Amino acid sequence: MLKVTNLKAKIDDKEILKGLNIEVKAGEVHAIMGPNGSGKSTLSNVLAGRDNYEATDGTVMFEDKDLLTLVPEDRAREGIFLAFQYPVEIPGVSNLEFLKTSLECLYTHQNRPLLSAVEFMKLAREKCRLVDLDTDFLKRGVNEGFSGGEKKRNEIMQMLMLEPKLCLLDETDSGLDIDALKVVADGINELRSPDRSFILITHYQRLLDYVQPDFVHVLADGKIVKSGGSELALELEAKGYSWLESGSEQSANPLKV
Amino acid sequence: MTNLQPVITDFDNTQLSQKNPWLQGIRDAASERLKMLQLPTQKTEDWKYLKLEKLLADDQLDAQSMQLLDSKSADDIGELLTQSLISDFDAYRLVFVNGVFVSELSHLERNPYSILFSEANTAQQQLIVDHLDTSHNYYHDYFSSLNSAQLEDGLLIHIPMHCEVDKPFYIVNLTQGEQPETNMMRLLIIAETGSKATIIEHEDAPLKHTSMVNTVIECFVHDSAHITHSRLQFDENITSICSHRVEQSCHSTYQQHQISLASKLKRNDLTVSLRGEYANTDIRGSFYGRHQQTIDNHTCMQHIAANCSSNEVFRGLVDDQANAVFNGRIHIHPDAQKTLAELSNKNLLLSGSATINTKPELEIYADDVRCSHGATVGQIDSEALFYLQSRGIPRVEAKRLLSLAFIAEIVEQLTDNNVREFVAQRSSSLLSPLHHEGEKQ
Repeated sequence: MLKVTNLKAKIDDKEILKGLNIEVKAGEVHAIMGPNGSGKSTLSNVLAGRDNYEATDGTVMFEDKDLLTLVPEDRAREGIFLAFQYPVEIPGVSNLEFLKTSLECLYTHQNRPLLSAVEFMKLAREKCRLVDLDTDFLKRGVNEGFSGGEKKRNEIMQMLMLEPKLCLLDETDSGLDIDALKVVADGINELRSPDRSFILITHYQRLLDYVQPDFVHVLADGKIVKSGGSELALELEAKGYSWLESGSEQSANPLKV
Repeated sequence: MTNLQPVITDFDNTQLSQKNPWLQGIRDAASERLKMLQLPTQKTEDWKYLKLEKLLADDQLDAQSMQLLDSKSADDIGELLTQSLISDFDAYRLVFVNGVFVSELSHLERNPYSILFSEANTAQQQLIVDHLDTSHNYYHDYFSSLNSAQLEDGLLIHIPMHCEVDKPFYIVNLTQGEQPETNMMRLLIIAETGSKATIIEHEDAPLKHTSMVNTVIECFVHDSAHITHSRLQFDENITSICSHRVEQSCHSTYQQHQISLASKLKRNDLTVSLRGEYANTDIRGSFYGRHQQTIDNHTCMQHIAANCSSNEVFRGLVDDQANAVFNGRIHIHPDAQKTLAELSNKNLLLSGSATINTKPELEIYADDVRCSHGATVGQIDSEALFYLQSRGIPRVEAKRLLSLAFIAEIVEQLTDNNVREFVAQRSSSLLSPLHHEGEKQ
């Protein structure tokens, strides 16, 4: 589904990704862990197409498309979804209007019939319940005055509505209490299917207690330095990252999945 | 090509109307004032951001609009006019086309509150003469004097003491026609002690042409009276200059919502004089300019009596090569102790070649007052834009949503549901990507 080859990227002339390789097949859940500043968020932003994140080398193929040539809205239409680390507050645009516009754009692209107003409301209410958000929130401005936890749950709610093919979750678990974490994990598990993939970017093992990943990668200094199964996350939790960074053989020879 | 300037400047006494002789005194006084006045230029402080002479000259219709006009039959135009009204709106509807009252389009039954000057009885005539041109106008008087000098008719809304009017007045000024001309609109509102009314003014011009509308509105809000006044300026196709004056007595409230589209030239002067203690003024405005349009809003809050409050919020959206001006003045006179006055103007530049000049002005002669003012000019938030795009919403549509969000605070304040929906729908379609040739940065 997604094949990233030798990806190099910079922000404001500072090189962050230094030849990153990863391949994600349909139905797989990949967790990317790593110390602060290793390039985790940069990877998700480059994949989603944010301005100022410039890919300087390498390729990113999503299904059969060269992702790096697409504008952000086209990446979303092809099925990529980024759950933001810091969701943006947009006063004056209601969640309802936002979701409706978004869904219409995606459905039109996919040649799916648009939902009627009643069908749309029914769907939106149902997804709200799944992430434990009061349906009143639909009338409020996008993320306006939301708590940190509500913002993250809103990201999951949008993900449930839009049913993307590839979900990138950028530290969606950070700053959440255990109940909210459970809600987020339930949302992810709800969507897991053989034709949908996930990349979970996280600092901690605890999300992975609820969402079992197929693969765990360690990102350090802009490269994947170690890959393994879900047991790798537990090892990292116990030992930290320093034992990886001090070792040299992994970074010289990044594992491919 | 037509030039509005001679129509405006070559005024002399021989043009004075003989109609409604009881208005002669008003006309004479105004034409005397006019002799002392000249068309404002950029050297006139309150007009310095406008190239007035240029804007009044070389007004031309492009060939396409001309063709469109020619192809319309009278019925088509009638249909167009009807379509531009707020539908299913339970109100006292008063429709003017090119400044002339059209009774067929109006709802006259059971409306004892409004009357045309030309139909006023002797007592009403006296009331009109006693009030016209007595309100304070802070701004250069040229255009309003021109209006008074050529005054033939107008609309009086008179709310008796302690009367709460059961439904809103919906005053529609439609402009349509091919001849260059100036329409003089005149509105006089008198709200007697303890009365309450809502007035919605809707200016529209469905077809492009070269007319100019010169409007004077005077509003007298007596003790404990409440007036809610919405002004919907959707007349994007005409040149419009408006002098709007409000006089408030003790414990009165005056609330205004102004939704304005720019045009070739649109100028709004608002002077509110708070003359009685504990009077309250609330002004909410939004404006939108695009193409090579111009809009200039000047407001002046005159705090004359003590213990009054005024709050003013304006939001501006400026796109393409449009030029917008906001000048908000708060003048606190020596006796106006315990005044609370606030002013805020925020603007969004939607293109690199749009211009906004914003200038808050405070002039304070009392020592125990609370005043605040602020003005900002910004661009669309790139984070918000990316957030919307990342959900599959095209950039132009995302910009439209964010622009609408910027003025939502003003639109949501419109108290009447019909009016609010009408404005929301018009704004939404106006900002839609269909109106834009292509993506702009």
